[in-house]
Amino acid sequence: MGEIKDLIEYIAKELVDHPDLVSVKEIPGEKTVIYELKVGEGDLGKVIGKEGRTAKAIRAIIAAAAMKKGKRAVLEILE
Amino acid sequence: MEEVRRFYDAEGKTVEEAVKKAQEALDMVGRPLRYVIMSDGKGNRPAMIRVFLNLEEVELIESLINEFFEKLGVKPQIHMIPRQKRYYVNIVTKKYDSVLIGRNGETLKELDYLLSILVRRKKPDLHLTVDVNGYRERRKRFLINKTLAIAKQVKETGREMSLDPLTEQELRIVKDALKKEKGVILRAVGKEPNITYVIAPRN
Repeated sequence: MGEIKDLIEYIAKELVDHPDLVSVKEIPGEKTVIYELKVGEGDLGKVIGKEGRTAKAIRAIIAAAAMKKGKRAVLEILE
Repeated sequence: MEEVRRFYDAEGKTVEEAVKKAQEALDMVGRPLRYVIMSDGKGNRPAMIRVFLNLEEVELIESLINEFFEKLGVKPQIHMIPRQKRYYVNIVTKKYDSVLIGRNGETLKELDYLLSILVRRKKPDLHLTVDVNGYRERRKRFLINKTLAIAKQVKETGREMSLDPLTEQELRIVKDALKKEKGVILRAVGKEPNITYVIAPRN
């Protein structure tokens, strides 16, 4: 599922002011894969968006991509 | 803000003739144009092409979408049509189309939102309407046909009929479809968030 990790990283880097501080960790599980997205200080709002609108969109897209592979994907966003 | 011209429409008996006319009008004789065929001229209507005037924008959108899908290991086909204030962008991936559309187009709405903000971060006045495998256009045509069929029935029976719940965007499509239907009116019944729209005979 490295592809989804790459996609999250790409999206986050495009959204934030400090792309060099973006990292994504993949925690594999049997059915569910957890992605921990870390962004630099002050960039949290950029990936979450107004009322969580952006985070919701990212979650929907990765859920769709994971579904294609028969998995569930969970995104956690940290600062 | 100044309105930027993003496209130029040209007509002709054939596509070739329309291209030639566009090249002359745009001072591009002998040089290649990037265009979309809006009508191929094989029916009763003349051929019409829409020429992209801002290739920089087109390439920005294409490269962003390509890069996005490259992460998923997909090489999408991208079909763009410049419109009044935005680009209609239809993405075809085959493999991911159905999951990207989602139930009732839910996931497509999110994809549209996400790609739109990514593009706007690079160019603030650039707006997209994202589609996947023509889903939105198909939905739109279906909704127009259904609305007109209901309007016809309302006129024939003189009885009002209610519509299925509509999103804001769908409401706009319905209103547009009813513009030329003089015999009926669209009425809202109830209050947010439980508004039902009803097509009723005029007076």
